[in-house]
Amino acid sequence: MKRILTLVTLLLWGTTLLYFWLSDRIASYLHPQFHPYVLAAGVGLLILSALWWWASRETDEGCHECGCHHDHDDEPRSRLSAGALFAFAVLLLPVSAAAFISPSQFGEAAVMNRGIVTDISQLPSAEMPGGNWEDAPEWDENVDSVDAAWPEGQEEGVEYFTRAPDGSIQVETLDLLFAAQEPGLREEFENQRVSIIGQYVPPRGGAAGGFDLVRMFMVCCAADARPLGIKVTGEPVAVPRMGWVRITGIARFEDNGGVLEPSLELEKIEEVEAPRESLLY
Amino acid sequence: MDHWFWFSLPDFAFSFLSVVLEGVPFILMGVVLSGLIDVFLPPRVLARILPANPAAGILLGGALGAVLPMCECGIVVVIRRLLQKGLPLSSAMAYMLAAPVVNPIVAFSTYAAFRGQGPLEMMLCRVALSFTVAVVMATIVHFLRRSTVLREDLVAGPALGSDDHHDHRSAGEKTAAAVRAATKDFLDVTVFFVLGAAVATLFNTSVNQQIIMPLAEDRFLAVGSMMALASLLSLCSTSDAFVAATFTAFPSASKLAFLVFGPVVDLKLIFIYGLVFRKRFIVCLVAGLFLLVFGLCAFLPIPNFRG
Repeated sequence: MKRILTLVTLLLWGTTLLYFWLSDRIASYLHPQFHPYVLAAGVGLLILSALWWWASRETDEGCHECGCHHDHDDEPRSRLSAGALFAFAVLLLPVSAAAFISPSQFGEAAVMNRGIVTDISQLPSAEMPGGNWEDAPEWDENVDSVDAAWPEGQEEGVEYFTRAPDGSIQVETLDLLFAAQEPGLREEFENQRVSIIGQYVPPRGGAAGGFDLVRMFMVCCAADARPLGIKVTGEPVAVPRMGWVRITGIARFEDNGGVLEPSLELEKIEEVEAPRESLLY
Repeated sequence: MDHWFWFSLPDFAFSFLSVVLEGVPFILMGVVLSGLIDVFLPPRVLARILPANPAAGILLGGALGAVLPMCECGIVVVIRRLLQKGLPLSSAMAYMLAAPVVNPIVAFSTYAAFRGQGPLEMMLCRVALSFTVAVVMATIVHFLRRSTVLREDLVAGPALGSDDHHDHRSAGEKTAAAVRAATKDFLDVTVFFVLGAAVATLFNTSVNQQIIMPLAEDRFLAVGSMMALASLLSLCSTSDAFVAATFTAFPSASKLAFLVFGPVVDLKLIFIYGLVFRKRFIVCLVAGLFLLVFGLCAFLPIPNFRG
């Protein structure tokens, strides 16, 4: 029984890791630098499960031949104790259940518990974007804004923001938070029409006067993600809480207790599909 | 602050899975190495390479993890075997306390986890502090009698370097034994990792983090609370850095305290130490480690690492 449960456990973990990698769900959970490890571990666990099946068949023979006197409680064919049953339950149930339940994005509870970041100095791990929207190429809806390909003939290594057909600059919440602290970048965005994708977080109780647009930012994995927020001035709209929206509006930077924080004057809001990578990194 | 606790099962599942997916590859890497070492490198070889000079033995024991990595769950069993063969207690203590951190796998996972939060500095400080703690504690233990420290059945062991009775096994049998050891280690460690990740995730997604801000702002409270948390979570040293890195509001010194203290004192280890040490010594060991790690992390001028 223990031998079979061990095999099932190794197979379950191996296939779970491979499933997350093959289905691309991994993109919302881990920074890309960890994706190859998940693939390697998934394959490794499947190999280990096959080796285990072979190695555990040898156990009885080997021990009888050598006439040794180990404590055999941990042998593959020993009786299953209550502790071992509990251990297998811990190994099998939580991960399976979590994979089934997890929506691959955070909801409002995590956002509120972690606190919305509106000042980039609270986010030591973020890197300054190398933005230059004036040379931006034509907007391509299939390309994430800051990941856009280099325009032909332009210097490689400089990132370009793209423009939507209405002329608005495609940015991320992170770009505006950086711009608030970097005078050169701030001048580029101030009073410009920008467009940002994020999750809609109106004030609880339906108070008027605006809402937050948030996007989670991770360093390594979703567990360390922090919500980055941009204040949007305008009336709350009929969008589900934490629903994905694209906001178009005019970027402003306002002094809030000595710290410049970005905000948007709402012009247009539209519901959109969740992006492939729900978290920025 | 309008609430202190808000639990959401989907948020919990999402965050929990991300910790698990990130940590499991490192656990697997560790147990495969540990299984190979367990079978293909008999303890008598380890005993043979340790010098007779106690100080050199302690220093070498502290650095041995760099070439013979072991996680904290597996090391106690190895140390028990080495002590039974008469290995000097101080060398064994240095190896036991240092190896879970002073090894390339943990150094690499720490570097990877602290991306953007001074990964190189965190990795170097963690290794240096763990090595220091291991050497200091091993030096103290050197002056104690074996009967004060060890369980009765371990006080008098056979001569150093005695042959292991399994040496006659064929390569196939040794491979099978390595697979069994690695699998057992994987299951044992992963159980504690899953439980630890669940507790950490519950805290990370459900508790309003504003309530712990006063702890994060005070260096002494931050260091002490992160050490207590490390013991409660009982995470594997190959993956604990990924959990520690999520406490972005806490100073680097407190995260180092978490990373240095957790691999040597946690709930599961206190039970496992009972395989080797007397109960009274375990209490003294835990108290000594707490004071030493707290003192180093709270009073050394460790800056907040960034970049």
